[in-house]
Amino acid sequence: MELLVTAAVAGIFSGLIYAMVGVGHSMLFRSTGLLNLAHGELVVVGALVGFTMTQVHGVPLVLGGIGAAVVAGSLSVLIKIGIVDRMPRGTALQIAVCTFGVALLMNAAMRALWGTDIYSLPSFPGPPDTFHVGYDRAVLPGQAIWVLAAAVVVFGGVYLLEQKTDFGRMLRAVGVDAPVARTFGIPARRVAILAFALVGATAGIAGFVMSPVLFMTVSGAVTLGLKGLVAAILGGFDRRSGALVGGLVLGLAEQTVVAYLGAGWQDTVVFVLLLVILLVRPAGILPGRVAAAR
Amino acid sequence: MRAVRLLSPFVATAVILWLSFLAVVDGLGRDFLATDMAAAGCIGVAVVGLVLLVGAAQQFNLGQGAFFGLGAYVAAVSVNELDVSPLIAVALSVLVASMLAWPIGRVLNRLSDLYFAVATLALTIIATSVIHQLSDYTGGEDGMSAPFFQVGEVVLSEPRERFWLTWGVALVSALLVTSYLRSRRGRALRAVGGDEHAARALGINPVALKTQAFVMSSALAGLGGALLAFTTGFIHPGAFGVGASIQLVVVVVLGAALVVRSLLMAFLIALLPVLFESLQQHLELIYGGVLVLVLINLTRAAVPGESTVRERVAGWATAGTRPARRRVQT
Repeated sequence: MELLVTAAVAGIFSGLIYAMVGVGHSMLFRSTGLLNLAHGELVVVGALVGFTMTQVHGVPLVLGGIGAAVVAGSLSVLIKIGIVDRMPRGTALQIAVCTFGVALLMNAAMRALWGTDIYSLPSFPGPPDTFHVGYDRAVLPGQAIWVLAAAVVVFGGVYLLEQKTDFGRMLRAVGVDAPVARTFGIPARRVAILAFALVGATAGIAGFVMSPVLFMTVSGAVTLGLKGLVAAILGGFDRRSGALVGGLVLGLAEQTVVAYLGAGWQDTVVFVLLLVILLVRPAGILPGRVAAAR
Repeated sequence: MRAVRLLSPFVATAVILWLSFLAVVDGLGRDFLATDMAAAGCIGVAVVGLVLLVGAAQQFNLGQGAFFGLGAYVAAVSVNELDVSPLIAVALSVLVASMLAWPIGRVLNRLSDLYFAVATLALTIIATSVIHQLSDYTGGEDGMSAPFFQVGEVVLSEPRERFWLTWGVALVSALLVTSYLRSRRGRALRAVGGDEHAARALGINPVALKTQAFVMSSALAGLGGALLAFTTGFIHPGAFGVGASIQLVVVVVLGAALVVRSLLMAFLIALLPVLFESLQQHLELIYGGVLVLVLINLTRAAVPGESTVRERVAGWATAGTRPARRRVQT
């Protein structure tokens, strides 16, 4: 029982992290139909920029977060303008492979700028260092509160934006059919650029908030981005809440296996789960709509 | 005459390889590179398999590094634990790789091309983490040693002999893949790669063909991996996994997914970082740059008003005399 509760606590926490990474993947896919395999790198860039600003240059925490969002958002826009727009006839696969190349380039650049060390911010002020949940080993770091707050803000923000604002409606229209949206006077290209900027900004913020609890290294970026993608696919790629549900399920599954079999099986579980879900329910585990696997 | 036309590129490749081996090892006196050049042949075998998928079936496989590693570890573990001869170990590797690839290929082929790429990338990560987990047999991060290749009593202790072995196998598999691609089934596979729906309408079964291609490609990756274990005498997880998958894909992309060209690229890509050590630090930069530039260039080919690098070069060369011709690739 203690093992299960421990796993559940740890699982919900890492699930929130995967959800924060995955929300960018699913938002980008819904508004542009594209897959950015450099997303994990954007998250790590956010963490590293936040670290350098707050720890090296002594900038206040809030400004560090804004800086992380701005840098990651601008890089995302660069990917859109420099890569995606230069492949007007490119299929989603070709663009995804190209962003994989971008991921390698970003890795090299980050390695040149920050080296291969582990960068970890101190916990944000506010909550106590740790929470105990019933059992001795069921411990949640205090930073979990901040991660949760960021998740609420991001998922709530995406909901409000897409559902309640004109820009959100344009975003959805472009996602459904860009040429038709254009005939209705929607500036499709500008909307897509803004979508990339928003997705990059969420990645930067996610990296910044997760930095105290997740040891951010350059080499972990590819796996982190992929795990976020698994979360998004698991919950359903074209749903707003998909990444959240998928992330939590993924985190719980992963930590349960870790609790019973050992930490080494972490990556294996996640990606076996991806293979299974792609084959059994490519539209995600949530009931309802069954979209074809694109 | 047909046989000459079929064989001449392979003979030419063999001559080029042998001359560069002589130039580097005997000419420059860099004996320590001989093993690296032999190991490049193993990468060549895996590359030939990948050409089948990326070039003919138009499937982007980021999982070739997984089967490459599988082959290497099955070979090394079976020699160390089961005490079989290297020749049988190689056969075992190929067998295990194909038997695993059959069900995996069968189910992965239900996915669209985008998810196929993501799923095969997942395969690579799974393979790496399983190698780490089975550290009792594989030595985990520290890697494990394997004997040099031997047939009967003859041990290939000379790097020169292993060079001929690995590149011989690479050239023979390249020849086999080429003739497969020209056969009835190979043409059908290319038709599936071109337009799956049209191929289906012609009575071709795309799933069966693509699964076959996946099995053949993975079997070749297993063969290459097994040879690698007996060529270098030491394997570690860093040589496989995501890095290897990326390297194999970059080689095939640079080789325009053509068999002989990709083989030569495998030789170059494997050798340049060893020849010029400063390049070793910047491999990621080079691979990333290659992927980005080639793919952008690739998608511009068919866009009105845009031109590829080759067309622009052709344009400068023939300045206004005639429009640049676009070669149709087979």
